[in-house]
Amino acid sequence: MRIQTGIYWSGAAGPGKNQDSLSLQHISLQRGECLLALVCDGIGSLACSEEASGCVVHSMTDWFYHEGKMLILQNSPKEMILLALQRQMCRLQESLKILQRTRNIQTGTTLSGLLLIGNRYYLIHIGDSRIYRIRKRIIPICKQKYHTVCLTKDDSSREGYLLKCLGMAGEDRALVESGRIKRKTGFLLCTDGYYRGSQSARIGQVLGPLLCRSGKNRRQKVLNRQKQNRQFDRRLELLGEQAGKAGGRDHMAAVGILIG
Amino acid sequence: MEERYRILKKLAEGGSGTTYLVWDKRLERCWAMKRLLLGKEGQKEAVQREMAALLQIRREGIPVLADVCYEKDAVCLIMEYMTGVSLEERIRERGPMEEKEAVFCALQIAELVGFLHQLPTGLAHGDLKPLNLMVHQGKIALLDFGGAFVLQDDRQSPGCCFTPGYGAPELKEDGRPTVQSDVYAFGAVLFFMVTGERPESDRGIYPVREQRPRLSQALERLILNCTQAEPEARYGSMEELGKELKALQKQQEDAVIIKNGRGFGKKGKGFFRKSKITQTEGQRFGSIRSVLLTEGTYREVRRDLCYRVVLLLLAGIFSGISGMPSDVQAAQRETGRVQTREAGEVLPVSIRCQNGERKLVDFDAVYYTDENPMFELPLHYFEAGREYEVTISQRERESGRQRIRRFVICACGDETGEPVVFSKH
Repeated sequence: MRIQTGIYWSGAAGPGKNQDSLSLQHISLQRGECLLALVCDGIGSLACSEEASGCVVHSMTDWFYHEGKMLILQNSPKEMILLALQRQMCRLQESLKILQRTRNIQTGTTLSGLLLIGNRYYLIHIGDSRIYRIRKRIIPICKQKYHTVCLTKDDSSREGYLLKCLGMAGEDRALVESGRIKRKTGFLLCTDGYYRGSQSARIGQVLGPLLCRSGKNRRQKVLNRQKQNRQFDRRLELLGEQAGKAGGRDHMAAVGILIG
Repeated sequence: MEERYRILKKLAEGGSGTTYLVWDKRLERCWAMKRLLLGKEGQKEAVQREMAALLQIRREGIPVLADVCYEKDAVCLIMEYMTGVSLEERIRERGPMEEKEAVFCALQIAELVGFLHQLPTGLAHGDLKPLNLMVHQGKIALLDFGGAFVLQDDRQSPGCCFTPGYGAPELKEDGRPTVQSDVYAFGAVLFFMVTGERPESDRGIYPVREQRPRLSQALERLILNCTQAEPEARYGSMEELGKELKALQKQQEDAVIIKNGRGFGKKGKGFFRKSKITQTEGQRFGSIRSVLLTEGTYREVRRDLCYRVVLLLLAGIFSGISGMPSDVQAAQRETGRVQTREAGEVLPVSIRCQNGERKLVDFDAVYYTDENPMFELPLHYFEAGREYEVTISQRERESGRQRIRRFVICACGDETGEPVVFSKH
């Protein structure tokens, strides 16, 4: 299975600090390739949210190379991996609470993650970031928002507040689910700034053609991997720039994965 | 002052005063209180200098000044309590640091001192030494600003701090700390970190590779450049020094990659097979792409800075979150007779570190900590007016050696009838 990856991070451009964080860890094993992709969007209305998103991204990456690695090597069943992910989510909640307590701040972050092991994918999702699946059509598969809804006039000032995210969700659990990967499928994990500026159809239009490509031979494909990744990066950047032009003032982060 | 703060323990005692850990009754939190006696000559200036320095600084790794209390012959500075151990204590307990760890810590020190130098008025610390550096979970904190000196103020009287071995030679004559004198002290601290020897000893600061040939030449050169007798011969700024350290850190990382043989290979079933990062039980890993982008400065606890403590209770204690049973057994004792509680009943136990943070613990996992763990039993488990015997069994993972400790816990009722538990043994 050929995997192409692409990233886009709007960097320090725009007002204030970029509270979005991303991580992409793509490794090869004897059994095949494994990948962890994460996108976190720190809650802008809270203090030091870049710390929260950074903390989550660092912890998850660390988890991937320690506990995750062991799970993969032991050929663990999907139930065990799902349980380990759920447990990691609880640990993240706890570590964010510690971060809040030690620094005396209120902070929180969303998290959208994708773990690819063999022919299975595992999704982790909490907050208003989004995960799209790209096939013939582009479908948002995780888009729970958990925003407050304005019910009365008094509530109107609180409308649009994110209620469920890491660091603020109390004992609520993140969505963790698994599925089987089909060939010629893509995933796009992005923060709200990215998907609000780019329409789903446009995303499919820009990224879809990359799915249909096939190299001449395996060696050629491998040698071209870096070149293709760079091309993928450029396409994601293009979408990001378009989102910026469309009036999006939020910082943006996106990770794309194409499975050929 | 006594109305608001309660002294919990003495943290340190020096020539100028004593530092205590105090409890703020109003805010219900701990602070560090530095009580400085005003009797000595120049002490008043030192206190004012420290106050002025701390008031203009707000940065992670430097304690925040929260309050000042005046007594008849002393001033009490209430400051943020920085947990951890001093660098001196750390080296004394665990020996000299490895190069990678030393560079990691030195980079943090350089950033902190560089931050002081770059303040609008410029501030030299003036008394940089291992005792004034705290290490906690791999992070460094800078303390004691009694010798701080505003660089852009010529009217200021010279500081009174000069620590043999760490104080630059020119401080003996002039007494005015400068950027270069901080660079000298930094070099001496780094020397102490990698050799474990005090620079004030008879040998002074010598090329570190004489004692530890495995250290890199670049690190040796860096220490010698910092501790040159002539101030002009040292590094011009902490920024310059920081760049050198970063380059050194990068060299170390590259060396690891080269050692692991990253690259393309034909052996194995496919490509990228030869690019190993770690090898575990014959399984090979190759990194294809690794990106981590964040503006957050948060880092996980560096495990290599913490020594390994194996925690394995009786058969394993689980956190409440995992929802699995705990194996800590409780036995009830009535009138001298021990009765085991009904079979199958389990007692969930939480593990907390010294400052009360709850640790999540998985079965059969190894945890790294440099603090004493605390085991917390839920209060509602005990009935008032009864005695319980709790057995905690601890098994060393590697040798399998087992130790058993028994506690008799008495549950007494308070005014409200709620049980109050205390241990007899």
